[in-house]
Amino acid sequence: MRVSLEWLNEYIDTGSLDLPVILEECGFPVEEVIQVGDDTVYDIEVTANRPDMLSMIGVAREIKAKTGRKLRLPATYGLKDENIWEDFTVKVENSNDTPRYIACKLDNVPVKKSPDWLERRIKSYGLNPKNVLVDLTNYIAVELGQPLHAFSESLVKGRMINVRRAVKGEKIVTLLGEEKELDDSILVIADAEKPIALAGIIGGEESGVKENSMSFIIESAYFDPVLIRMGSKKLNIKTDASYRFERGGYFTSPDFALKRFLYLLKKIVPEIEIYMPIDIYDKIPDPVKIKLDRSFIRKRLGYDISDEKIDSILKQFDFEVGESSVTIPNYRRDLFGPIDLVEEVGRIFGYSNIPDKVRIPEGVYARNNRLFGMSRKIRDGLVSLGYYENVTLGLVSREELEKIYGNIDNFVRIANPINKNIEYMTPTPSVNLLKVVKNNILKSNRNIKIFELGRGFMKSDGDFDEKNILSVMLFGMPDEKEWYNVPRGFDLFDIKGIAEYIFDLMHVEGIKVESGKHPLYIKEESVSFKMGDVEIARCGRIRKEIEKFYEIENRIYSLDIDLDRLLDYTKKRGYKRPSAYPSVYRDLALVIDKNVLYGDLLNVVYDVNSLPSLKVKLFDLYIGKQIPDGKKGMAVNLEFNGLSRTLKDDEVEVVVGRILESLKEKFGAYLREK
Amino acid sequence: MRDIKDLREEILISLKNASSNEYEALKIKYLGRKGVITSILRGLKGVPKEERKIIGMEANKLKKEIEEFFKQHKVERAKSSSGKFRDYTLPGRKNLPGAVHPVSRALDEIINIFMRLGFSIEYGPEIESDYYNFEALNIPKHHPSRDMQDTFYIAESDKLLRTHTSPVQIRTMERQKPPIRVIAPGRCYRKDEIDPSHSPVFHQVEGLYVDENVTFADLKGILSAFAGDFFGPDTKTRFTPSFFPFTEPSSEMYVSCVFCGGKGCNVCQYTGWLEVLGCGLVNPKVFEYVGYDTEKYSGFAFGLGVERFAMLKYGIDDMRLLYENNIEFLKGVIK
Repeated sequence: MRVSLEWLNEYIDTGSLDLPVILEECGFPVEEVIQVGDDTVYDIEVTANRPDMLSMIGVAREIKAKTGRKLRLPATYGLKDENIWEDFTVKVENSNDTPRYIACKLDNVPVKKSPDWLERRIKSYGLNPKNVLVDLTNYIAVELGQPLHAFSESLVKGRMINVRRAVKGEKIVTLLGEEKELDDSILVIADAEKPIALAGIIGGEESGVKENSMSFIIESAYFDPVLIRMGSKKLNIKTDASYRFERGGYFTSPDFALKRFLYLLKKIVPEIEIYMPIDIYDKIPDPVKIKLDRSFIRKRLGYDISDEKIDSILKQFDFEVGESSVTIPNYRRDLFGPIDLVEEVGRIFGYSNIPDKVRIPEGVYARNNRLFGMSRKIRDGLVSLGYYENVTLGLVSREELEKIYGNIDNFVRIANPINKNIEYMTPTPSVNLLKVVKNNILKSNRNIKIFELGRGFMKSDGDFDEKNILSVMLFGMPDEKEWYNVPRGFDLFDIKGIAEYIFDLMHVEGIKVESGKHPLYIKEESVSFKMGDVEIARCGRIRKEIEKFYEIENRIYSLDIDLDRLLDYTKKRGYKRPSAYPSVYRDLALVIDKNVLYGDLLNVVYDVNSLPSLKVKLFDLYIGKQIPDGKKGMAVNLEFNGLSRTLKDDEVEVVVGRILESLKEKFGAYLREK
Repeated sequence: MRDIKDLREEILISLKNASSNEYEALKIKYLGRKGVITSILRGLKGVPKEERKIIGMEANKLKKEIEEFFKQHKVERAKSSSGKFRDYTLPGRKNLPGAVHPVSRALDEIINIFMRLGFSIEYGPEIESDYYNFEALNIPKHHPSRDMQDTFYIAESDKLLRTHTSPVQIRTMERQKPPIRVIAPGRCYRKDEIDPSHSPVFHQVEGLYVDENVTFADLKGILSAFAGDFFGPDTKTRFTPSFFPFTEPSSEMYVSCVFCGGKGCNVCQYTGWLEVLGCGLVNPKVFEYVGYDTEKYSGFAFGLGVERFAMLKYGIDDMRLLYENNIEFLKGVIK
């Protein structure tokens, strides 16, 4: 709302006041100060609850409430012995849609240029002056917040105005020259034949103020705000009038505004003839009365404001203050209950005058949130290992999803996206990380270790599934070439190692590893981590087609862990006394079929073992001269411990013998020849 | 014969498994003057001639293989040490930490402060219903206050993407009775174009405290304490009236400019103040939605944008940097 200081001073003396500070303390910060000649114009931010502040008089009232200065109400025209407006009908179809409608006929109105003072004020609001009639309706809208509309009388057909819902299929050409098709959700002003204006939104082109007219009908009305808002949205027309109407009019406004309009017009054009207005309403609403509980106000503000102070603040608003109730003037459409009085008193008293109080009350403490604790632990763990945490938008394009998943029926689409690049909710942060990798490569960052603790979204039985997911992505080399090392590229076991690191960090035990199949990964380099039948993580090498799509010319590995499930399997860490007895170690250089999985071999070893503790480590894996074709060498180290006793060599030999026997039986494995 | 074959296997395995810092010692162990190979060659004296020749050949072959390994792995004495000389100015072996994202880092600080003040963490869904995101927060359909938050809707559904984390307030109050003291961090969505100070996706921390006799003074106290902890003890706060449908009275908190200390600079547009969060006493209408006694209970709520706090604290002037995840940026910003 643009507020001209020169204009404002008509209603309240603002001399010596620091208006920006006062307005801000009332809750209406000045966004911009514009100098227009000698005048200063403040552009103030008005919140949606205060339509009254979209008027000069509203701003003046607010300043009065804050400063106690005197308010000068604008003069109005006293209707007395006006001509009767005959042979004309005004009909209001539904008083819920239109609680009040006033139409007033004027004769002998020359459509001429406005006087300078009027043009100046219209300009200060940011409008272009047109003619005295249009300018003055705009003036009233800014001064009082009540939009008026003027029709050329001769263009209203059949000597009637009918305020009604449009009939489906009816059309109107607006003042902006656009044709709009209407339906029964749109409130219109119609004559005997057709709609001539969209109520509260915009006039029709045909019936507007024409240069050659001398007779006009001025409309001053109060329409249902929701109806105007829906109509404006539906027709996609937003005007100063619709902005005001959808924030809410009030019962007495049309009458006052019309009289103010007539007063000013008569002053500018004394020769006009005014007819008695036709004023249609159903019932006069009761004023809002709010229970006044002064101790409630003190209790909510947390400060001991005296009864007298409370009453004097409320009176400064021109509220009627009784012993135990406050009557609210009808231009304040935001006050309904006792809590609203708390705010009014607090605002004027000043929030700065209320002391700060810091307390942690009894029985209140910060409880543990496991997901938060786990996420933080994982994040810090990965950061220590040299990984960079990412935060992405979590939105992706249809094209990306189709490229990766083929079928995208199960993904969550935004009905009204800003653009096609962010039209879908991502099913895993990995998809977003692919783009991060691409962008980093473009910025010459060649070695990338990143992760995101985000969410993945999917459709699920008519509803939506949101999972907390950790995604990790690797590209390039673990370490750059330094004076002491031999650089190498990332491979599957780097990403798998990260999965195992996280499981270890979170004390998750008993995870099964299976060959995975997921659209993100190359089939041969895809791993699935399961607890029972439940997959809690997967990792692998990104498919070449996907790499190509993101213009990445090298291997990328990624990992997704379902954090909600991980949390289900997280165990409390227990402690036990380490064995006091020495371990017995045996190295086995096994030769075994190339296709045997280490995991299967391991299972057999653990199954066969009958000693209290066994740890197995694979310390070499090789194929070469010493190994026959179709076989591989696997060197494992077995560490046996008796836990409560020292193991004897021969009992270890017996177990090792059994292990070798089983391995031979199951896999045809044998010890490499000595 | 067999002995040398075994020896070769053992040596190659140990070389393969060795880390580069062990190479030097291994080199001495195998090839040194008292090394394994040397002692084999020395031990050949008593061996019959034919056998000596073969073993000698094998041993020399192995020696070459080992030498080749070290050559490949380019371990030269000169690099780290030579005799008693140590070039202690060589850089140490690198252990490079990664970095926490600035949004996450700011969120951490925010959460830490509120947890110290007794606030627990609650999470909620990002795909929300109109009821939780708007209606129960006293934002009726067709009310102009909806314009404050331009919303993304989910296709073929009546759901939407939450425009704030305030729905978690409602969900928490439905679940438990006062006293409630929670914060709800999370991702939110609004239909804003991406520019230096806007993003369609951003992070918010919503806070809620409900109990008997919670006052505006409590709100001011807790939020001022928070601001002082986050921005530094010299930070001043100021509260001005505002409007949010779910709070009454509503307020906007300003902090003294973190760049100029309140003297006035271009960041604070020479006002000395920065608007940082919205807050207020919980509107009794919200309590009615969750069935709380509006006479007995009162509370305060606030919502802050994590990106804004991160940008102010770490001096980041363009929000888009936060979502690019350029590693150079992530490295440099947190010092």
